[in-house]
Order: sequence, then structure tokens, then C-alpha cells
Amino acid sequence: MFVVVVGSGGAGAYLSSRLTSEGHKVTVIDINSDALEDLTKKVPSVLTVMGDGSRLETMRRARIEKADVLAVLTGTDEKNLSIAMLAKNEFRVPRIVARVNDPKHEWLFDKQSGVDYAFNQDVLLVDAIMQAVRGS
Amino acid sequence: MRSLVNVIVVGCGRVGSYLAELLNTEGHTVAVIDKDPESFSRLSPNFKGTRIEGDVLDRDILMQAGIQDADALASVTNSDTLNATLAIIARNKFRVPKLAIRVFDPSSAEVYRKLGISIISPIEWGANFIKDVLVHPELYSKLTIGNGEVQIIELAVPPGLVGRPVESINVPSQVMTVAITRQGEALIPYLGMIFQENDFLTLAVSTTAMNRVEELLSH
Repeated sequence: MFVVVVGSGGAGAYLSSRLTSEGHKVTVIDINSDALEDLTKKVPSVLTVMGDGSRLETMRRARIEKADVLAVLTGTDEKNLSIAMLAKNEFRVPRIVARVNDPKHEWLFDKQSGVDYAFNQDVLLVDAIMQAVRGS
Repeated sequence: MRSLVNVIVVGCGRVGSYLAELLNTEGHTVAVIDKDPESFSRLSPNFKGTRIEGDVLDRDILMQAGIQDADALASVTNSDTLNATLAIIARNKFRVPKLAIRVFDPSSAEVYRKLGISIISPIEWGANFIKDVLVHPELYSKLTIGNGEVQIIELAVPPGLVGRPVESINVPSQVMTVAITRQGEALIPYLGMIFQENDFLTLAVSTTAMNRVEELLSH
């Protein structure tokens, strides 16, 4: 599979190392060139594209139209939403996974916004903790 | 009389506050949303619309602004992605009929237009405007009246007209000198007024007579 990841923070870096170790092709987009350099040191087989992931020109450079999966992991929800919308509408990416940063924005991350699967770290973490609390 | 509408303005910066005031003056119902409460100080004390402080991607905030009954939404924050995202949400989830957003990056403007959103791109607009001023410096339209049948244009007095009477350029139903600005003061031309150097003219011109005016002024 060919996976495009937007955002090379902790989650983006860990995800791309897991994906490449399983033999998938991965291209990571980030606006920060230092972050991309660090990433290629850790995960040499990953391709990187420097630029604003919400711009078409950046998406084209990452060959997003060929992607089987797009993972949108920036820390800004409006950015994640607009990337998902453009990727779905302009490039017909079949599966789009997006990170929700603020739980109050979760209602926006749906198929209408181009998002096939949304996840919120805080909600996942809190759910896990609540389970632990209830289980004890 | 134009019908009154419910409008949501997102972003209370220079453009947002000015737009909200204009709409309010025309009697429309306006709700302004901004995350920064200090931005509302740009609104005059006479502003009768609703000021809502908060995160515009929060459903409760949009509901508070009355998005279910909104006839129009304008998003003019300084984030292109926020403006665009919001317009698409307003259309898809709340069926807001009229949407206008500001987008700085002309390359994304084209995409959002394809998605059916009205885009105001100050960069494109400014570039076109400046181009017109450069290419047609002598005739630039200050205002169009009706559906553009009559235009108000402004220009410096052409050298060939200096010393001639103002009424010499007026042509019934085609061209009319509306005002002369002389030494920083605008005057409605009096009978027998003569063009002087450095005069600045304001003309009402029938669009069909534009070429004639160009010709007239080139002498």
C-alpha cells in the first residue's frame, strides 16, 4: 500500500516507521524541514515532502492522487479538515484517517468532510483510563 | 426595499468588523464570532448585532450565532483553511444558502470555487485592480450604477482640456461632469467653470459612451 502521512510529529513518525517495517510505501509531508530530517535519520526508507500540507501544490508533490490511505495528523483541526476535504474532492483518496485534536471538533470529522475514520488521542486515552478506573 | 437577512460574520478583524457594521447599518441581523474578545472593540458602540466570543468550530458556538436560520455566512479570519472549512461545514451541515470567504492563497481559491463557495481573494482582486489602473490609467471606474449602465470615473484633467469650459465635455445622456476637485476641495461645476491644471474630474459616463469619452479626453 502507498500511504501519505501529513504531520511528522510523534504520531506521524511512529506511524511511518511501523508502516515501512511492514513493507508499505510511505511519504510524509511536513512544513518543518528539521522535523523531516530527524524523521529520515530514524526511518531512512520514508520519502519526505516539505511544505504546507493543506496546499494543492504540496499534495501533488507527494503524489497524493496515488495514495491508498491518507493519514492527517497535524495539530490544527481546521487544517486537518481542509486537507481531508481537498484530498477527497480533488484527489479521490479512497481512505482518509484524521486526527481530532479538540474533542469539541469531533462532530465535524465525518464522511461529509472527507474523513473516513476519525480518532481523538485524548478520548482514546481517557476511555482507557476510565476502563482501568472502573475495572479496579 | 431590499429584504433583510440573517448574516453570520466570522472574524472581527478589520474586514470582519467593517462588514458587520455595514450589514448592521442596512438593518440586517448580524452575529459576529471571534475567538479574541478584544477584537470586538473594533465595533462601534452603535453596533446592534450579537458578539460571540469562542471557537467557531464548536457546534454550540455556531448554534448560538443562529446558524440554523442564517441566510448567509462570511468567513474572513486570517486563516484560509479555517475560512474554507467553515464555509463547507455551513453548506453541508446547515444548508446556509449564501457563503463568502476570504482566501489569501490564490492557488487554493480556485479549488474552493470549484466546491461552490464564493471566494474573495484580496490578492487576485488587488492584482486585477492594479493592472487596470496601470493599463487603463486614464479611465478607472470608481463606482458602477444600476447593473453597470452608468459608471462614475475619476481622472486627472487631460492637458488638452485646460482652459476650456467644463460644459464642453458634457454630452446629453452620455457624459456629465459631476464634480471637480481643485486644490483638495470638491466642487459641483458652476456655469462657465474653466478647467485648470491639476484639476481632478469625476464624470458620470454611460457605459456605451466609454469609447467616445476616451476619444474626447485624448484631445
